[in-house]
Amino acid sequence: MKRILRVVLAGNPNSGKTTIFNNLTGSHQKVANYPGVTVERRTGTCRRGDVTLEITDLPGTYGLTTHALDEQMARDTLIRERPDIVVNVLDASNLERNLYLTVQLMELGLPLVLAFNMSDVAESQGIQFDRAALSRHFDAPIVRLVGHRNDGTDELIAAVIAAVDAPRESPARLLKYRLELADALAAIEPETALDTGLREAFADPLGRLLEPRWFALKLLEEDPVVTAAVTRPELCSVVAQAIERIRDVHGESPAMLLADQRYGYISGACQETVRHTAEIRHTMSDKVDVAVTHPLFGMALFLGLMYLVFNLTFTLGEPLMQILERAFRLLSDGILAVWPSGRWGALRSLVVDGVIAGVGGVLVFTPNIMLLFFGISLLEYSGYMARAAFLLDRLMHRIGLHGKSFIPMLLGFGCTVPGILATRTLDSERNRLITILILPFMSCGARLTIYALLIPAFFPPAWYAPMLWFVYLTGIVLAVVGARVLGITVLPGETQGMVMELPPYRMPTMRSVWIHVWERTWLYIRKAATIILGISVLLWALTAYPKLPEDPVQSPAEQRAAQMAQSYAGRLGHWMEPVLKPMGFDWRIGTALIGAMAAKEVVVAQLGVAFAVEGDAEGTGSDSIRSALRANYSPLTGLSLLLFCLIGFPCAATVAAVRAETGRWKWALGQFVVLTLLAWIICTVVYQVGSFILNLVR
Amino acid sequence: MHPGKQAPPAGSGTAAGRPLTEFKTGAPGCVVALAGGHGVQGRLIGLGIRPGVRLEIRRNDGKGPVVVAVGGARVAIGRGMAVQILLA
Repeated sequence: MKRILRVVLAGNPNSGKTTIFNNLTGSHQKVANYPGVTVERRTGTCRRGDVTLEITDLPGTYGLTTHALDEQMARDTLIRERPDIVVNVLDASNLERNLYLTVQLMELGLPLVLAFNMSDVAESQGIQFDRAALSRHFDAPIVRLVGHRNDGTDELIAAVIAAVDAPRESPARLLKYRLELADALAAIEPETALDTGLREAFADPLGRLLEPRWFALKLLEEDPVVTAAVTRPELCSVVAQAIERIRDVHGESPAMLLADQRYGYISGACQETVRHTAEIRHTMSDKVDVAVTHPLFGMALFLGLMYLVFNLTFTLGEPLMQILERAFRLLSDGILAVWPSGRWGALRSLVVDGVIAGVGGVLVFTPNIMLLFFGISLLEYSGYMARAAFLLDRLMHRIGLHGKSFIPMLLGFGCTVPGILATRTLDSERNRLITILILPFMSCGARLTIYALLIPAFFPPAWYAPMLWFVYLTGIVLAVVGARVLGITVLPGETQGMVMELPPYRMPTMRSVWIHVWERTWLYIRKAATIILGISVLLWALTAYPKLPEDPVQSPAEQRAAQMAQSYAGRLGHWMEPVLKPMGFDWRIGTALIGAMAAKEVVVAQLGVAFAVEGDAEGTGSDSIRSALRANYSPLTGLSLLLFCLIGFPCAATVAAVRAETGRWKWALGQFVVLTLLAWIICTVVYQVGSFILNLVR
Repeated sequence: MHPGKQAPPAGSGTAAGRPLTEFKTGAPGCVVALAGGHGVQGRLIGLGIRPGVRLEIRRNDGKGPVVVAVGGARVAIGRGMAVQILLA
């Protein structure tokens, strides 16, 4: 008979949970967000004979409180979905701390299987477990695992299936609370049983209720979510009295006392069952960390590593990118050759100029994306990223963020979209939003192509490097100011202090790295095939229609320019001219900027079309574009345009990613409008003040 | 097994202790109290930093976050949060 078992993986960060999830599900996994929030939800399946395990990987957490979003999501999933079994992954070499989550899982009354991961490390350190005895204390089978060697996966699957088949009582019965806590629980429990509103608020879809004990514990802990669900005033007063009494007697909160007793239970269990010789874990890591976390030496190493990652991304990526570019060109040339221009001309142009040019223009960056994430996941899985966050915490603290926000911002220099995706590792929702909102200030690779075109067009060679540096620096300064302003106005609140484990350094497994890289790459490709495709088609239509009659006297380039001038995009540019004038732009720049909304690189191609430059569709005649620009605009306009490309019009992929990651159009569109307005103000001020000064000098 | 849990005297919530940030690299200490709200306390307790536990300061550069060794783990703590941990 076919059976489906719903399994949830829970465990501390760095317990190797994701590796075990990968071992169990292989490539049968998908990533989504929890509804309405930005915490990632990973699910996958695993088949054994007739049994299918549907596995959900919870975010790594140290507890099940509501202080952090990921803990709340983990808890909600456990309560609402009531899995058939919870696999609790523990780092066997740091057992007591890991068991704190286990006790909280027991309190929920869910059947457990304990996976002692990294058992090899624990054993090499001389830690010995009496697994049978431990198993009795936590009322759960214990499986020995070595995740990174894929050892013990089959045993785990077998244990899960066996555990579901063995009917058990709630493990919560094993936990005894002492002293005033026991009295308080005894007083509160019957009251919670009467409060049906409260209990139903936490029922699963089948209407199964949680045990009264759990509610009593949470009320004593002053858990805001459970407390808010109470409907009977009698219950409130019983709880308030109990809390008061415990504070009086112990001088500390019930939450603290509870934590103490949970750890007490763990110590008691471990005392009899775990033998420890010496603490030698971390010795290597500690030695390495003396240098790596050093304020000066560590910083130098960090900068060096980052340079290496970016350098590899671009140097190794470049030839691959050229191959893809050539492939797309061959494809469009092939279509043009096979498809005579007379028949279905509009469709032919749509396919070649719209779809292939637009989607292809974005897909060619795929190798860079893969390389960038390869480097990042190596640093992440080896344990280095936690050290980087540590080093940068002081710097980031000054702008109201903490160290972990630095990594997404760094990625933003490659491409804003992966930067936005990388904010998923941030634990506070507020920090995550601020980071996402300021990310477009980091000049991405696509904008570099614009700078590379414009700077030589308007400035003497000696100014190239300083100008480029100036544009990047302006972005960074705006990001710093932006973070502060957002932190005071739109997203007030204190920065939650950083607390983060520095895991021992480990050799990353290629399997995990590959799964991670592929996941990110696939998101990128999917975006290109959906959103970018739609916008490319729209932009193509705007520049291709309404059609001009063919004029045999004009050269094809002149004809393209004339077509552009009276196309919808051209008309839009003309119509926008009053707004563009103060920044020193005319309608031609306007049409190019409309293109920037699809993808920043489009600006270059569009300027080529507007100035009727002879060259292929990719706009390679950059020198002739430059001389046309020089002939038509002043360097001041050039500077203004550089700044506009830096600040204004985040590209469509960014808007889509912000919408997807924040779950709200409000943030995506708000960011778009605010950045564009800001760009307009800054460019207008620069152009007007600049013109004024230039007039004085003259 | 791990650093023995020496139960602090009753009423230790107000016991004298100096903020963790005042301890130098290499210094051992015993947590006597956690200041700060429920959120801060909850996060620290989850990481095993709670009254009665012994820990060792692995890095304190006088500014920026600190690193402590607690029960076999290394934990980086932002300075703002580290001052809430009182050691004796």
